[in-house]
Formats: sequence, C-alpha cells, structure tokens
Amino acid sequence: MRILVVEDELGILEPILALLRRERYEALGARNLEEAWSLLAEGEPDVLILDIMLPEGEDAGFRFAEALRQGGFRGGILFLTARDALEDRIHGLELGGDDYLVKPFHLEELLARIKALARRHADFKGRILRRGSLEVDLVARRVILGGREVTLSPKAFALLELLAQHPDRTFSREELLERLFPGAETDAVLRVYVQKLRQSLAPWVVERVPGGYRLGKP
Amino acid sequence: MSLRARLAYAFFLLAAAIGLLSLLLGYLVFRNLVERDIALDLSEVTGRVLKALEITETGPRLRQGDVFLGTHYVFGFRLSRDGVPVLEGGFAPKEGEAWRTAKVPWKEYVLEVHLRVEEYRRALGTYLRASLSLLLPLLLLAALLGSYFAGVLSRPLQELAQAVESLSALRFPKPLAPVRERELARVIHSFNRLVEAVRGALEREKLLTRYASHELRSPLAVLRSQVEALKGGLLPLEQVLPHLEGALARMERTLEGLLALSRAEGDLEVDLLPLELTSFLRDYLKGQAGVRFRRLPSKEGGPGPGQMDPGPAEQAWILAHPLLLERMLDNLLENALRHGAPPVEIGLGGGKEEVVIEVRDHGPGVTEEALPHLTRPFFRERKEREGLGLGLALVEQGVKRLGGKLELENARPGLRVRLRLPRWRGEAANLSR
Repeated sequence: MRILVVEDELGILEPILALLRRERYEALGARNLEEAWSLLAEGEPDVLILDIMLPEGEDAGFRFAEALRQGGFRGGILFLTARDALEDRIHGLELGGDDYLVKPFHLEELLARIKALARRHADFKGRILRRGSLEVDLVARRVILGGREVTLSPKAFALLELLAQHPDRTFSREELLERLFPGAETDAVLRVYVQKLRQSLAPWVVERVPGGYRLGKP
Repeated sequence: MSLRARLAYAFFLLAAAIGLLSLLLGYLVFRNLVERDIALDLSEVTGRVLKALEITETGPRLRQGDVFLGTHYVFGFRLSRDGVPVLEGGFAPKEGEAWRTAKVPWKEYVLEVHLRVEEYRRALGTYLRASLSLLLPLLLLAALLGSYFAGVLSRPLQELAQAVESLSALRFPKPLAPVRERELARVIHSFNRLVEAVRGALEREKLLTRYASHELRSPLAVLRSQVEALKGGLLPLEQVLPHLEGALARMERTLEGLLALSRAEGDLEVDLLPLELTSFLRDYLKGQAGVRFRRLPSKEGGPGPGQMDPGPAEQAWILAHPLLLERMLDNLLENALRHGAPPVEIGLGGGKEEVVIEVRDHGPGVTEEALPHLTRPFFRERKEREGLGLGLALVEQGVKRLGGKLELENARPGLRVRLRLPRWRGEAANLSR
C-alpha cells in the first residue's frame, strides 16, 4: 500500500516515514505541495497524510485536498495538523478528508488510523483473511502459512495485501501496475512479483484468470 | 426593603404629612373664624341683656319688652351678687351641648351670659369629617403613584443588577437599553462599555491562548514523534537529537514571545506625553542605517520629499510614549529589513486630524491571502521563515494604546505599513515656542 505524507516539518516527517516503512508500507514524504504534486504524478497513493499549514500558505493543505477530491482522488485523506479548532476539523472533513489527527500525536495512533483508513477502502473489513492454510493479518501486516510466518518484501506484501483486501475481485494487469508499480514500462515487474509470491507461499495463492489476477484458492 | 417599596412608602409619608398639615391648618383657620363669630355673638347678646337690666328698690330686674324676642340666638343669663344668684332668665346650658359663657361686672353684680354655640361646633365637626374622608383616598392615590414611579425608576436598576450578576458569572448580558434619566443613562452606558471591554479582553486572552497552544503543538509533535521513533528503534539517536534540540529551542522562543506579549500589555499603563514626530524621527533615524526619511504628500500641501528640518508649519504632535513608539518602529523596521528589501523608507505625513507614520520596503510584499492575518500573534506568512510572528501583533497593540489605527497594504513592490495616530492639538503651540 502506498502512503504519501505531506509535512514540512522534517522532525515529524522522518519518524512517520520510518514507522510506515517498518510496517512494510510504501511510504513517500513531501515537504511542500510542489513535491507532493510530483510524487502524485508517479501514482496515486492509497492514503494521504496531509498537514494543513504548509510553506505554500496557511490553508495550503485544505486547498490541496479539495483539488485532489475534485480531480477524483479516491484514496483516504488524513489531516495531521496543529490546528485543533472545531471549525478546522469540520472544514477538513467536509472538504473530503476521512480523518483528522491533531498534533502532538502518538505514532501508534497514527498507524492505527492509517490501517483503519486502508480497511475502509477494502472489500474485506476483517483483520485476518484466511484461505486454506494461508493467513494474511492485515493489521499486524504478517503472513502465516501452515502456522509459520513468512517474511515478504514490501512490494510482494503490497501485492498480496491488495488481493487480500478485495478477496473476490479480479484486478486487471493495468490496475495492478498503476497501483503497485507506477511508472513501470511493462508488466514484467508484475510478473516477477507474482512469481515471487507463488514461490514464497504456494502456487495457488495468486490465480491467473482471463483479464488479470485474483487471490486464489487451494 | 426594596427600593420600590421604600419609594412608595416615602411618597405615602410625604402625602400623609402634607395632607395632615393642610387639614390642621384649615381646621385652625376655620376654628379662628368660628371663635371670632362666637365672640361677636356673645358680646351682642351680652349687650342686649345689659341694655334690658335696671335697678329697682326690690333689686335688679329686666326692663319691659322681651329681651329674648326678635333674635335667633339661644341664650340665657344669671345675675349674681357675691356668688348668690339674684336674677335668672332665658335658657340654661344643657349637658351634651356646646355653650359659651361671658362674665361681665354690672354695678355690684356679676352678669353671666350663656350662649348656645352648638351650630358652630357641628359646622367644625362637618368640616373635619369632610377633610378626613378626603385625606384617605388621597393617601392611597399617593401610595399608588409612588409605587408606580418607583417601579419606572427602579426598572433600569433592576435590569442593571441582573446584568451585573450575569457579568460576574462571566455570562455576557445583552447591551442595556438607554434610559432618559441622565444619571442612570451614564451608569448604563458605562456598564455597556464595561461589558464590551471585559468581553474583548477575554476574547483576546482566549485567542492568544489558542495561538500559543497552536504554536506549541508543532514542536511538541516533533518531540513526541522523535522520542517515540527513538524508543521504537525507528531512528538512531544521532538523527533524533538535533530535532529534539530544535524543538526545545522553538518552545523557548515561543515562551519568550508570550512573555513579550504580556509585557506589552503592561505598556498599556504607561503615561502618554506630547511628542513632536519630525524631531523624534530625526533622532530615531540617526541610529538606523539604510533607512530613508520621506515626507508624505499631504492634502494640505506639505513640504516636498527629502526635507528633514521641521519648520513651524510641519510639526506633527501626537500623544505617545517615546520608548513605546521606538519599540513599535524597531519592530516595523526589523520586519522590513528581514522580510522585505531595501530601500526601506519611513514616511511622515497626515492631515488635520491625524498624523501618519509610514514604513515601507521594496521587497516582494505578502500574499493578499496573508494580509489580513499579519497582525495575528504567531502568524508567519511562511513557516520556514525565522521569527516568532509577534512583531506586528505588538505594533498593533501599541497603536491601539495611542488611540490610532494600523493599516497594511501591498505597495507593489513592498509592504506598506501605516500608523494613523490622532494629531494632538492641546498645548502644541505653547510647547513649540
């Protein structure tokens, strides 16, 4: 899952990115809106964590969120800001924000909210998805096969996570490429990660169907 | 006792006193008249009797012709000698009736004449009863009127009392309606002003607390997330440490800024003195490198730009405190030099009623979006810029203390800050001589 953090204060941005990367998210950081736009051009994030007061202005974060929603951005938006006034919270949620967290905050709470946001956009709302001997813990972000934990690379986990969040849906190759490997020229990279998942777990885990891939059954 | 009851009571007492007094006076005057009539009647009757008395060998007797005929008086007489009655005639005084007696010596006798004055007594009694029966409704009316007027007078007081009560609980009452009574009207105006002043002060306090808490949230967020990242092994100590130090330094600066603001509140109590701005600015600018003085074109045709020496016509007197004004100008020049670009100019001008000090730079100015927020404590147009964002807030506070107005506008290029201060006319002429 791709998460974009827009925060001009390096002292806050760095710990968040470190935390998200430890949790095997694909985390990107931007310190101003210019950087944020250029990262967005490379692919839409699933969750956007957004400060409101940015170098571009007092309400730059609000304006950014509004523009994104008007442009059809479907991911979750979490405002992370020092502005604690009720009207700001309401304004943020009305503009299309999904959540609002006031600074100072606990990293663990931020993480829990990000996971809740990710779940909101998933078809599968539970915590652990089970398929035969495979267990995908979407909160702890662990994979267990036959009672044994399997460590996956972030990209491989992201692929499995996306399939597990929508267990009955078939993803086209184009959509998977856009969401997981933005900027990739061909679908070769996708085929590599499908192969990796099948090798690390079991051949049935990723099922190839006409038009794309979906989570398989044993 | 409520004010209303007290006023009604006072009205009642006053009316009672006036009523009783007039009753008493009327009664006395009436009785005097009656007494005079009685005395006249008595002397007339006595004269009649005396005229009819004569002495014979057998003693005194009444002359022929009835002394009691042809008169409406009811009277009688008794002639006695050494206390022994010798002759009596007419009516004798009856128990339960009002009679008057006159004693006159006649030869060696004493003549007592009795006159019935029952009619007079009845007339007095009727007068008294009539007056008294009128007094009672009068008193009642007075009490009612008193109560009504007391109600009218005390209503604003009651409203005021309620309003004061809610104010003391920090619930802000609506402005009280004006009244016609001059003394009360003053109290009510003062009270309405007090409510506004308290509300304003609390609002400012609340805003400042909000800005300050907001200002502290960012460094606190850095501290917390860095410490948590350190504890969770997300970041190494050497990467965390500079951020912790930076956040602590920022919190210290914020604290200093807050103290500066509260010190500035103390400035509101300094005494203001007459100050001539042209010479004040000349002295002030001696210590400021890179700042140009400029005469602002004035509607009344002031001197041209670049002239520094104040002529008698160019004096700009205001009421201010030199240190306060200096600190305000320091802040403005610091802003202009730090965020703007040279040349930085200080201008002086104004009209009949006001004096205008203008500070202008030739930098990029500010965005129109940021313009209305510039005087907000801790506002910074760009977060990465240094400074606390308190300078203009302090200047605005100072300008308000001097009874003036602060105006900000983009001069393209640069930012133009204008202090509009009321021109002081007081003893300017005397002082300048």
